Amino acid sequence: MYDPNLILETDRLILRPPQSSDFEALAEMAQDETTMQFIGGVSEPALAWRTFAMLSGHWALRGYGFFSVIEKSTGQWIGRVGPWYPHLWPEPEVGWTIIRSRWKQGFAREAAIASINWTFDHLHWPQVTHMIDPANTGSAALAESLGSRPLREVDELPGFGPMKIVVWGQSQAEWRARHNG
Amino acid sequence: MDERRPTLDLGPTIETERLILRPPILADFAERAEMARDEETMALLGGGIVPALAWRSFAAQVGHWALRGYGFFDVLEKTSGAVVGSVGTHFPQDWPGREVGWVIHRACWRKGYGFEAAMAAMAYAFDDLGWDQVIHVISPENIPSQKLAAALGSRHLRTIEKLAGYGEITNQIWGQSRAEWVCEK
Repeated sequence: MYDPNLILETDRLILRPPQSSDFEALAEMAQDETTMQFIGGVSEPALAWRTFAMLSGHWALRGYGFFSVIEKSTGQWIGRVGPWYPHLWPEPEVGWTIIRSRWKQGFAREAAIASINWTFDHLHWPQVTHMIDPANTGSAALAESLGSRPLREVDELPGFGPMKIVVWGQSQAEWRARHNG
Repeated sequence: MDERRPTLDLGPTIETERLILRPPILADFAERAEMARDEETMALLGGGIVPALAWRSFAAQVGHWALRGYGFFDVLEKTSGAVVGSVGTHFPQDWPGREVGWVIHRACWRKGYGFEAAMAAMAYAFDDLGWDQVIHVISPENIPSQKLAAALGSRHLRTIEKLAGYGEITNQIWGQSRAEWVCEK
């Protein structure tokens, strides 16, 4: 069970569970090749909706999931960031995707910090990870700036077949020392 | 997390003579995954899938309830408590119409469970959701499902050559209107 009215607030962002009104913006992002390059590629709206429904169902089944990230100044949906653990996933992770027009403004970092704090406070994970394509230097740089480091590599993401993924991460204690100290 | 606990108040529970229909809960997943990987059950529904993909599909079904307010029920056999199928009301993005669909595990075929559950889902679609028209998307080779659709009072309305999210694939659209449903009753 989770509270559908859950809201996290940062300086410039609102994070909340997905709502059906988020779909149009998410479908637009799903068609942008640059944004989707390292996370499975583009998809047409019918498939983007299935992914969106899966994100929503992940919340219902797990009690947590990707937050919709809303830019306070415009009210726009600008991405999805949050704790994620589909069946047989290598580890519970906090992941992020922000629409391309909002890159290089620190939004992913701002949302990831809020998400990781919430994850450790409410889900009590011993560690947080991030599954990152080795060629995705932008996400690797963000993981590093959050204090994570490459822990290991996996050769397969279940359901997606063979692919090389770097598992970044850090323990809760490391995170607390860095961010609450 | 207690897997038996409903995750959210997603929708109603419907009881028929031999079956319970209710929105999916996490505890159903092992049985749903087993059904999803059974090649014979899934032969005319896109084929069997591995558990990691079955979970994504299961989560998408749950999300369909959360986003639309209706969806596929998990169908439980009263006598055993086993999950025997997935039947319900379905309208994902760009789908050719509002659908009542069904999958029953191969081990429980030929007992009339598909018909019993689908009749309950039809009543839910017309009486509770107020739909004016129901369709069923059925492979031309899926004779048992075509017979079930006919038994529900639906007719073969047209054939489509493309299905949203699945690309170029031929399917029959069966269906009936609310007026037809009411008259048959």
